[in-house]
Amino acid sequence: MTDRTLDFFRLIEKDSNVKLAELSLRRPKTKDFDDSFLNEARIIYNSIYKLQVFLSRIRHAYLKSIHVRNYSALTKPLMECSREELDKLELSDVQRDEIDQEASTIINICVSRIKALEQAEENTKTELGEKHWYEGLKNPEKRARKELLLAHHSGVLWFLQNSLSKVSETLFTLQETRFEQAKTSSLLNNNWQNRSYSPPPRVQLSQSDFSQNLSQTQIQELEDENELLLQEFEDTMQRVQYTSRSLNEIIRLQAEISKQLSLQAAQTDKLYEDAMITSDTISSGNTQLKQARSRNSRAAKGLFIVFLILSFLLVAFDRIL
Amino acid sequence: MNTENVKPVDTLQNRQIRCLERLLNLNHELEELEDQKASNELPLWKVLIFDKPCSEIISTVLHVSDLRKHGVTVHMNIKANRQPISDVPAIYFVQPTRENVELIIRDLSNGLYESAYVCFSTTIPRALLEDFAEMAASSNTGHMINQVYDEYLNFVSLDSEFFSLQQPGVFSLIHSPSSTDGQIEETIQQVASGLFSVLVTLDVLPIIRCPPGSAAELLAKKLNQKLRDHAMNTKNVYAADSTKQRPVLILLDRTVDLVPMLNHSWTYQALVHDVLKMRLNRISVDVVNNGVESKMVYDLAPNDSFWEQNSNLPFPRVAESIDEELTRYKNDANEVTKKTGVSSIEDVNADTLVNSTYLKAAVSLLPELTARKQMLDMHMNIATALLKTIKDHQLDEFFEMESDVKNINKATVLACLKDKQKGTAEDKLRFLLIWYLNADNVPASDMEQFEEALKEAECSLEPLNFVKKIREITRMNMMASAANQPTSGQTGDNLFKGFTSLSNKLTDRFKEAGIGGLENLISGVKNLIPARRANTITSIVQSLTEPGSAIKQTEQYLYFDPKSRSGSSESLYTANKRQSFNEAIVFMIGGGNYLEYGSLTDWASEQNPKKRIVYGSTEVETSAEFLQELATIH
Repeated sequence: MTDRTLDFFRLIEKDSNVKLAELSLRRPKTKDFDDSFLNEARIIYNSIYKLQVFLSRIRHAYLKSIHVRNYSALTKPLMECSREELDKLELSDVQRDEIDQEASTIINICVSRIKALEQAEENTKTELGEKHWYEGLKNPEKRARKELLLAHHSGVLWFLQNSLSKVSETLFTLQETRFEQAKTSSLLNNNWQNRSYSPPPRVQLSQSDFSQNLSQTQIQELEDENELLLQEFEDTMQRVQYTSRSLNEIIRLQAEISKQLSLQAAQTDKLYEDAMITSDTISSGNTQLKQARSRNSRAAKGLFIVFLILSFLLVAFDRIL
Repeated sequence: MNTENVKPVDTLQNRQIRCLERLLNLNHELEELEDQKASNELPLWKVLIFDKPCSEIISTVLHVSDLRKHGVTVHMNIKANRQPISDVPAIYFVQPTRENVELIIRDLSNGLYESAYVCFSTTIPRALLEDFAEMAASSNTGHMINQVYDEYLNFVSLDSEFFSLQQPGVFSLIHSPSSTDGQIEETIQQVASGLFSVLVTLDVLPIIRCPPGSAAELLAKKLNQKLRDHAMNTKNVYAADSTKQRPVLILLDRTVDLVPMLNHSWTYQALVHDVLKMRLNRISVDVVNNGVESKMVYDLAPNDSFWEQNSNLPFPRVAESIDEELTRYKNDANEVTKKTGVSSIEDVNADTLVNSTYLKAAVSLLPELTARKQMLDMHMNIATALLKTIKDHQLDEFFEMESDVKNINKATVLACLKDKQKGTAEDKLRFLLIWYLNADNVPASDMEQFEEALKEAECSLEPLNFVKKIREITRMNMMASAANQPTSGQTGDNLFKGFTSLSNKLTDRFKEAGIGGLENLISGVKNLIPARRANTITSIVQSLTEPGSAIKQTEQYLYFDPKSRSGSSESLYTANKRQSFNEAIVFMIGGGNYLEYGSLTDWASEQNPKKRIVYGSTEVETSAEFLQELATIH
């Protein structure tokens, strides 16, 4: 492709007083729309986009297999950190859970805000449907405009739901990976736990043989280690259970969003068809009007005179009879 | 499954799709949009306005959902009566004509949209650009135009490496004695513009070869000049590095071989095109469902994996593939229902499931399974419709005769033409023309008998008159390639098994409809795999890409190199005509078809190393349409 924009602007500059610099700097409108629907939609999209960016940046830290026990207080909210800052983080399980919760909350808020917009559109559509027959006759262009706007808004809603579906999928993948990691490490711990119970008999044997060699402190240390391993194993199991619950939550959310998406697609298709049919009807209506006007007016005049004569005859006969 | 049909990512169709997606994103590279700053500065939602040719370009490769994904909320024709949506910009994807430019200015003056991104399908001429600017200045709408781009997309990608310029009637115009030089010149100019766009999209600067003294030579000269000018003026457009081997562009006239345009074929895509009249990858099929007849409209666009793998296979093999895919689907569906513990796939509902593994399986596998089922249903319906027509018109017998046309004597031809049961009048005419073009000596008395038989079948003889005139020229060009023996890869039993099981499945579905079993329909159909015979076009391509196997005919071909320093646009006689090529772009002036595309694709994949062939034409016609065109030449 070849960019002819500068060429074009230079030609305009020659033909008018508009400066090339002014034309080049102009930016299309991306916010503060006249249409409040679009403003709300843009706000929703910004939240979705921010979440998508955040999830991609936090992925490295989130999936690190280091599980910090006590977390250090962060200097600023996670969502405002850069990729480099987030990469360096070491997160605790509590922090990970908080991230899951907050992301789910944001998605839920978006879902409800989109539903609110859908409801508003539904109301407008019903109003339009009720006003149908006489409004259509009075001002067909106005009706066509409203229908097109409905189709346009429906397309915007589909776009939002599609973006939301993508971000919920990202969150799902993240949580699923964490879940798999937790499951694997719990299995490993399980095996290790099993194995760590088999040495004790040997230890006892060696204890009987070498009881003088193993001091009280060493036995205590081994028992402490076992305790620690048990504790870790329980922690991992808890982690697995919690992650599994939040996984269920995100899957349900995803299923709901997918359903909404396919419904919205069908809705948008229908609204688009309606809008096109109305505009086609108006076009053909206009054509008919033009044709009617250009039809030979003599024929119309002649018909009028005939009817006039006939009505006079009718009155005359009535008088006579 | 045919694993050898794995296509490289950078096909012509994929390149065009990427260009269109970039267009829908306001001519920004998709990677740029990842930057948050950029996404806040660009409008998210836009309206797409196109004219008819551009709507065909888009609709062949993109669905409405693809448009929506890129933020296009509504799409409309530029000539339609349109209402305003004043908060969003409009993308105009139109041909660079005066009418379109005036309509754009009118829209902006009336405040229909917030602003405009204007993308012309090909280069807007300087004079028109000046007029456009003048109109914008005088109507004070210049500030509402954000971009003006030349997109070089004025061609349609029908398949991954198969394109059409959507320019009808080129063959009849060139060969009609009543055409003026001016008309031919203008037509060739338009063809050059379309072909140039294909080359820009492929990002190549090829060597051009063509036969001398024909429309191909005119086209070659024009194209050579265009490429030369473009390479000089816009050095950065050609990102092709010099180390990459350049392809060869082979320009041919349709008269080099008329037979493929008339052949009855046996491959899936050729049958769908010929019998179901596929147009821009869309077909309309009569379907009977539970006794209710309806017309289904199907899109065979990209992302149909079954079509991708089976389109160039013989029809009996396609029937087997459908069978295999159905079995695979049933197995996968059973697995999912087993995992989730519900009785059938339709009952899977997110609310009823508790275990997250099962839930996950349902949510991720379910949409994929539904999509697969829909695709298989569509292909079953298509196959049924094809089977019916093949049986009704005995197309398999025509195919068999045409495969072995040189060995058919005059008596057989006459019998076929007189047989009232065999095929339509059009089928008979096609067969006769193919026989006539292949036969050595046809006395006038024989011709009279044939014409009588055709007249009885109520067939128009106009196309035959034209073919008589160009017969000698065409025969000189056609390669005397002997028909190969049919491949013995599969026994008749195996093939019939595919048909039988397909018919069983179809029969089960349509039992209630009272069609009474499809075994009757297909029992008479012969199981043949088409003989792999060397087409004229394949021989020419082979000769030009592998000098070792050069045939005498192509030694006369002209040679143009847009990159050569000699600066002339004339054919280079001293050029190295012995170089070999791994990539070729074959362009047929006057009509192309799926048969040639299929045979070129097969030939290319059999080479070692594999070659890449892009094939295209001024338009892709069915035999019926081609015959109609022949009839108009007086």
